[in-house]
Amino acid sequence: MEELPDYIKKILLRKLHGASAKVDERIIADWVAQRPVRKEEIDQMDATWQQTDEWVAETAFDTTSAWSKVDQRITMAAEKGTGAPVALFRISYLLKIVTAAAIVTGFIFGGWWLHNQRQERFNTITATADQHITLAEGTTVWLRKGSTIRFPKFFFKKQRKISLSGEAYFNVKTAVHQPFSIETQKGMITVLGTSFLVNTGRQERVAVITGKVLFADKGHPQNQCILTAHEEALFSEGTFERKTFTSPQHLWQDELNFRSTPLKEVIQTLTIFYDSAVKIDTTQSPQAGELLITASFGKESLLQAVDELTKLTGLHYKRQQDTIILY
Amino acid sequence: MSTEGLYRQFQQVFEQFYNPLCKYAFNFIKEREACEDIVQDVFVKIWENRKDILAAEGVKFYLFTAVRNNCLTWLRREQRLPVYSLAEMDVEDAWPNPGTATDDVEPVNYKAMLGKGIDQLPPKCKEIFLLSRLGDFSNQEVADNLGISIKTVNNQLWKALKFLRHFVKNTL
Repeated sequence: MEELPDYIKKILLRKLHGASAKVDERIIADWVAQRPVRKEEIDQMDATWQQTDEWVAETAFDTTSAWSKVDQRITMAAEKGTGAPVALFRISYLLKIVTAAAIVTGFIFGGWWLHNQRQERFNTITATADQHITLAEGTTVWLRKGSTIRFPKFFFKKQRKISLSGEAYFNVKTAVHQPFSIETQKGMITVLGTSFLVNTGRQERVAVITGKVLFADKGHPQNQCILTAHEEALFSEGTFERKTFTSPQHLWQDELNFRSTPLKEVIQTLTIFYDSAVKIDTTQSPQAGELLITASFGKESLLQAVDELTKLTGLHYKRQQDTIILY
Repeated sequence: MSTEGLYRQFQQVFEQFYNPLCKYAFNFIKEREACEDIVQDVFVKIWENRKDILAAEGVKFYLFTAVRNNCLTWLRREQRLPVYSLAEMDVEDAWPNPGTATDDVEPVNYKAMLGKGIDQLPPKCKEIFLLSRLGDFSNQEVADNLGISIKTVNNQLWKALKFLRHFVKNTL
């Protein structure tokens, strides 16, 4: 094979980089015209370049897991910044005390600043009463009284990760390429889009109402179990205890308490609590959703609860297939 | 820009360059874990000290240079032989014979083959090739980055392509 002149190499490479000009094409065309065999050579080089494109595009390293490591390190470093002043106070000795004080102030301020920066990226909500929360991407959470949830203000492209302590019900928005994970003290729960209940007491518990959930030991991720609808798992001391359930009402630890809660919210909660559809006929009773309810439900059946609601509000109810309608 | 926006940008840069940078580091250090550690360190340090370059054009330069330097430092610290030193950029290396690889390779996957071929490129040529392909640097940028002439870059890239073409053809 002939050795190519430098200017031809330069132009051909420019072409491969996708940065060739019209005049380049002309020069190449002229050059090829001199000896047609050159055309073949150029085509082969082109093919090799394309192949290396594929080699470049091949994902050999796990970016998602690497990102969570980097994200965690940055978060931890920010937390450490807050702790720094304590150590600094110990080295206070007379002559340097002023300097030290100045540095300490700097650190405290820096720590506070970093802390704020960190806080800014997350929302933390602790429910003083049962509370419905909708996350930015559409997932709804029913957070039970005394439970805490922490979630980023924006989710990363390839994952949605939040943390929870306490009890909550999730209705996860489906997004196949952006798995939703919940970190608890001991477990890691991963879903693609479903509804389920998580309870993180001494025993951690996940109960699945619809869909499919992966419940894993955080310390040993290969220790895991997959739950489908109407299955629950209790996790303690490294083992999962699986059970099936029929009525989601028994899943909840505490009874329902409503204090001057609008009826529409009460209904939303009952729907989750009893896993049964309850609605208000808004054409017949447009204002009914705003009626305030103070009541407790726990051991009652859904019908008993609805019956009590009708007594409190003066509304009536009827059953339509699986749905209970208040009017 | 708000910190939140900046952090998002940081993440985007990470997602875009994490894989190419690890592959680049793997050229120096044949230990996947060490490569990933080095690249992650570089990113953490950028967030801690050099947020300002995230928005700059030159962030790519910074990343590839930082990863290369950290790889060389790692090799020195681990008392391992660096693959080569950049200072002695002599161009004519001993080129392996592309045909010899046939013996130990079960043909089929040409992408893997290509990886093997790239690995057999002479060090300096490989460096130029990787920067050009992984970093998508223009030939002028590669030349600037390595402090060599653009003519050398052109020649080496062309040789690399020729070698790879024969390597893949002869081993398939």
